[in-house]
Amino acid sequence: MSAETATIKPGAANARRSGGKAKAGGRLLTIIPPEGVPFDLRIASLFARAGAQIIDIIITVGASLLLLVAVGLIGSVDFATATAIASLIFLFIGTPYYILAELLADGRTPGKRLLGIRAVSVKGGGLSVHQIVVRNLLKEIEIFTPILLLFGATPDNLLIPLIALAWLIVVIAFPAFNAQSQRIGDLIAGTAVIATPAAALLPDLASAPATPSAERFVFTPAQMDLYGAYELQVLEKLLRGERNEISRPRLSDAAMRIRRKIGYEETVAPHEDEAFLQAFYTAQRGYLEQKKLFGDARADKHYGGAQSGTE
Amino acid sequence: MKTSGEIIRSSRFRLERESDWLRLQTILDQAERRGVKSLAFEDARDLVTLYRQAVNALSVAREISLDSAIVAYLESLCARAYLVVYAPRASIRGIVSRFFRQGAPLAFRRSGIELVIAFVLMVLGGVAAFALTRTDPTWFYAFVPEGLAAGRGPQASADALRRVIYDSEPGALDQLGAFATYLFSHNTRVAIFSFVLGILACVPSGLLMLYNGSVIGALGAIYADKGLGLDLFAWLSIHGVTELSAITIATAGGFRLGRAVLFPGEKTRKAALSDAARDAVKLAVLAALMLVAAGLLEGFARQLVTAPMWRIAIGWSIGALWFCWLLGTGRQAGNIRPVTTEATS
Repeated sequence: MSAETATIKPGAANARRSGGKAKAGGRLLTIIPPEGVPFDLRIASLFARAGAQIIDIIITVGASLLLLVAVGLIGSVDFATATAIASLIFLFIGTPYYILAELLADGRTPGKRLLGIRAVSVKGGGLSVHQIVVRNLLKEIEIFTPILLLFGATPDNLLIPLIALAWLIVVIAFPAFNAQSQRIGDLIAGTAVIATPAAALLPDLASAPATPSAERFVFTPAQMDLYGAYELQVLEKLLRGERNEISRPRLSDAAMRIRRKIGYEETVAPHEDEAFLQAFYTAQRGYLEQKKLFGDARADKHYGGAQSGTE
Repeated sequence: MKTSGEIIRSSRFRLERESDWLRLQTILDQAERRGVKSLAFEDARDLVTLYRQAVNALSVAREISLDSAIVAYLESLCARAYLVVYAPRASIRGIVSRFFRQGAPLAFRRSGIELVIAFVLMVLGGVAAFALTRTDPTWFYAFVPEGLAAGRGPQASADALRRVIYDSEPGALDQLGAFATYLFSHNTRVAIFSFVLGILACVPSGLLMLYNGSVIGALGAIYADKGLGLDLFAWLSIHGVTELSAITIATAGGFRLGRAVLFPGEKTRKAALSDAARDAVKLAVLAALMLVAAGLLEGFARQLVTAPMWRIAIGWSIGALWFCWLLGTGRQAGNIRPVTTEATS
């Protein structure tokens, strides 16, 4: 994510990029919409999916129980009939519930909605009705049928429940060994479950109101040749962080190291460190963006052979 | 040389578009929470334009801006807008009516060979089991498992066999219970497994069809032996026409999958399988509907109607209705649409 913009130069930038992705935690699904501009979606964690599934099961089982109680109120039934009716109701509520919920709420069952995840089509374009039906029909076969077989286990007939158990283990382990955490139904339907994207619009550090201090710090091109986009974004992260007892010394430490590296001669008072970093960030970003515009993209400080010896 | 004081290019870029992004964000908030239908006219009208502008801005920002926050924000905004703009727009009623008018009948007719093969296998199993049980009644035990036989066997008296066919009328709840137990009976499981296992090169589905036919054949032989052949035929007809058709259709769906695995043609197996799945899924849904109908017939109609002729008449006329629907609807006067555009439902 951090070096998203610096893909022109391969090599070190790419290695860092993949490292950044691993650190961000989670697999990514790249979608190319019909507009042709690819973007990355974060794959939902298996825990979130399991949680959503449990909530959906609670909803369907609760509805089934209510219906069962309603049937029970009509007249007395013996146990065998009651279990048959219960499993019948569960079957009728189960799969249609998932299909309808995903159709009506764009791939979000109530459980998924609560946990902020949703099903999407892996290829660009909308989630089609066919995909929704396939992934939920297969859920019936993948998960619910083996579970029902497990419940029907008796000591004298263990073969079928054991097969069902083995099947369940395979099905549950399947997403973990899969690039996009797809279960078998997802794979066949061509869908994946993603975390609903939510990023707030953060203030622009470079357009902070021009204070008198902004005029105070002036940098030469030679001073700004020393860093690349990666260092700039590390500085951005530092400036965006909250201010407390731990981060303040870090800020002044960074300010001191930058001054030493670029050979900044004026003295800067400790209380001006933040203003200095702010000014340096703005100047450096404007400089690097202009360089990039003219075809000289600098992924990081090792962007050219000549400068690599300076550190 | 750029110093601080004036606004740098990427910040100007952001300032010019920020208000549109925030507007898109509030529209998306509302659409995600309460649905696209709740949007005001202007919001709904501008949604797509704003989305395209945001995607455009994302593309530009990746090139000119080194502000990682803005790229991350735009990426998330575009992804959210994309999910709203390209959400499935089908109404439930439209989907259901398209399934009944075109989806199911067309899938049924495209699977002609598979349907014939599945049916022939079942008939073969039935004929073989009938002939074997006729010559040696002990074959019955080889074909029919103990639980399914439920006392019906070569030793059973004609009276006992007759009682199974013309059971006394039970109460309403027992009928519901009978219906429910039926759905979890042998036949539903056969339908599910012969559909799913079709993917294993058709072999298990074919065997299941043979076996299913043989059960009926063996039962038929026992009843025919006692001179109850017509009564059994009537008893089976009222729900069996629908039920056995459903099993045949489910198996044909499985065969479609198996054929894609065995003979993918020019496509890769995965592509062939996902193409075949389009029809196979429709056949599975159709089979499920027919099994429910068969369950209703078995749970209610069979208990209420006891005259053999009426049973035969009801069973076969319902069967004829299914086939009229599946063979008649969805035909078009003009040129036939290519299969690929018939994408959803």
